[in-house]
Order: sequence, then C-alpha cells, then structure tokens
Amino acid sequence: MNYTAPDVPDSNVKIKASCKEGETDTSISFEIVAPNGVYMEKSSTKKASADPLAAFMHTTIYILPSDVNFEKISVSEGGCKPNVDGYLSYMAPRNHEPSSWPIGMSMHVEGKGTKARAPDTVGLETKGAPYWGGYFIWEIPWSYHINGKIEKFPYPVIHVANLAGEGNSGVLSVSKAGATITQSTN
Amino acid sequence: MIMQGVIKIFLFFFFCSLAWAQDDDFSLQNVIEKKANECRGLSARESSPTIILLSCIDVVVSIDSMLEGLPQPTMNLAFVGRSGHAYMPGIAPDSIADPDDRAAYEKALKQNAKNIDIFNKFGDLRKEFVSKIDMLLVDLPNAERRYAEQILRGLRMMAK
Repeated sequence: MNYTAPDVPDSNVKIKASCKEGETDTSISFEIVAPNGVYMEKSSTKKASADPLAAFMHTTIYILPSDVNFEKISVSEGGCKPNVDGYLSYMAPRNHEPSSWPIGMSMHVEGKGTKARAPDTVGLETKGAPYWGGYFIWEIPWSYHINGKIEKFPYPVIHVANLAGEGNSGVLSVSKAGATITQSTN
Repeated sequence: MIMQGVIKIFLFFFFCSLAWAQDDDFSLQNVIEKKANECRGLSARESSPTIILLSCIDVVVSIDSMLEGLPQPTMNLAFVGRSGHAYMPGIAPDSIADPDDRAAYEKALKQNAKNIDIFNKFGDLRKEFVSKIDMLLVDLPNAERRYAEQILRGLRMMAK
C-alpha cells in the first residue's frame, strides 16, 4: 500500500497500523521534508563544435533529497539576468525565460532522487576566435508545484559557462546543477 | 500458457485498435481517455481480475505508444536560428534580436509547452494504471500473478 504525505513539511508524523484482536498494533514515525535541491546528470551530447566553440548537452533532472519520493510535484524555472565577464560579456542582454509549463515527475531513483519526466538542454555557442577568458552565469530560481501551490526551492540552480583561451585556442565548459560538458578547439 | 495466449490475442486487438484509430483520424488521446474510463468502470463483481488486468495493461501500453510518437519535450529548448547559430537553451525570446528567429523560437516554445502538458497528463494517467495493476496482483491466481509481476516490473522500468 502506498502512502502520500501531506504537502507541507512536518517533523513528527506517525502512521499507525491497527491489527486484528490479539495481534500487536504497529506504527512508524517519519519526517516530511520539502524538495531542497536539483541535481542533473549529463545523458547525451546534443552538439559539440571546435570552430566556433560550442557545447550542448541533454541532462536528466533529479529532485533532492535523494531518499525522498517527490512523484506528486512538478517543477519550473524562473527568469533571471546573467552575470557576465570577459569574452562572454557580449551575452549580457541574454536573460533567462521562465518555464511556460511545469514538468512533472517520472519516478524515484534510489540514490539519485526523483527523476523529472523531461530532460533539460544546456549549452552555449560562442562567436568564434579570437578567444580569451570569460564567464556567463545564470542563477535560475526554481519552484515546485504541489496541489495548486507554488513554493520556491531554497537555492537557485546555477548555470555557468566558462571560457579559457588565447587567440585561436580555447576551452569551453558549460555546467548546470552538477552536469558538465567541455569542448576545446583542439 | 493460457495467459500468454490471452496476452497475444489482446496485443493483436490492441494494434488493430491503434490502426483503426489512426485510419479514422480519431484522436489517439481521446481513444486512450475512453479506454481509461472504461477500465475504471470495470467492477470486480462483474469482471474477473484477469480481464481488469488486461484492460489496465491496454491503457498503459496505449499511453506508451502514443507518447513515443511525440517529440520529447525538454525543460529548455535548443534552438538554431536561420544563420545556423545555436541559441542558448532557456534564452528569453525578447533577448533574440532577429525577428524571424524570435518568432520561430516563440512558436517552438509553445509547441514544447503543449508537449509537456500532454506528457504530464498521460504520465499521471499511466501512474494511476500501473498502481492499479499493482493492487490487482493479490487477486490473481499464482501462475497469472507471476506473469503479471514480470509485466509490472517492465512497465515500472519504462516509467514516463
């Protein structure tokens, strides 16, 4: 039999199972916790190019903590402005668009978390050589939706692109919530 | 053996029903919703657990088949503009200067949102019927239960 917990955190929940006469009743105590993080794993390379430097990947999304099943929630991303420096400063006007629709959960995966029904696509294409150092960062606010309520995750998900290089050679690394793809000009 | 025979006949009729639905330009989603409602209406008093089990499997397999025919939605879209430039997934449309690229991107975002909605709706429906199969196991005779447990394991691994 499955039990779905209420949609608010509670540190002291007890489920009591009543048994037939002559048998001992049993109970189990546990804590209801809210989703507190996002973890991504690279599932495939979408596109990688050495000239111009570009790296795109698909990622599998997991909701943390990993030992809690959040199958009843859906998640969405909010909007934000980037923080840029160096070579990638030309991308300063590229804001992040809030999700137009929240994504539901597929299943709980032991040791990883609750897997989202759809993957994410993460990446960046540069405008080519000459390269020099720079970064582009989105701090994306995430929310979870449950029973018509929308709650924010305690921390934003960091999407960061780092470029290192000089002249015609460079290395681009793009990461989001633990998943990384790297591409170099060599 | 009997169970395997029943499953084969069931699969034959399942694929016939899919072909019929497509030939007649019926919406596959409506067909699945109809099947789901019919399955919900099967009562233990009037139908055997095996019939209810097959009906539930039919709903789940139909959902899988329908979703596999749709483009996989993603949290953020990879979008390539007319010049061949790949925009950053997640970029706001108003950050795209080229008006044609912006319009095409907005259209792709709307389609992606529509696909997410379908995946959410039918993914939740699938969960309902996989859970129903789980609850039915206890009512099945031993040989059929073992067979149904194998099917259930497979359906769980392909969770949407």
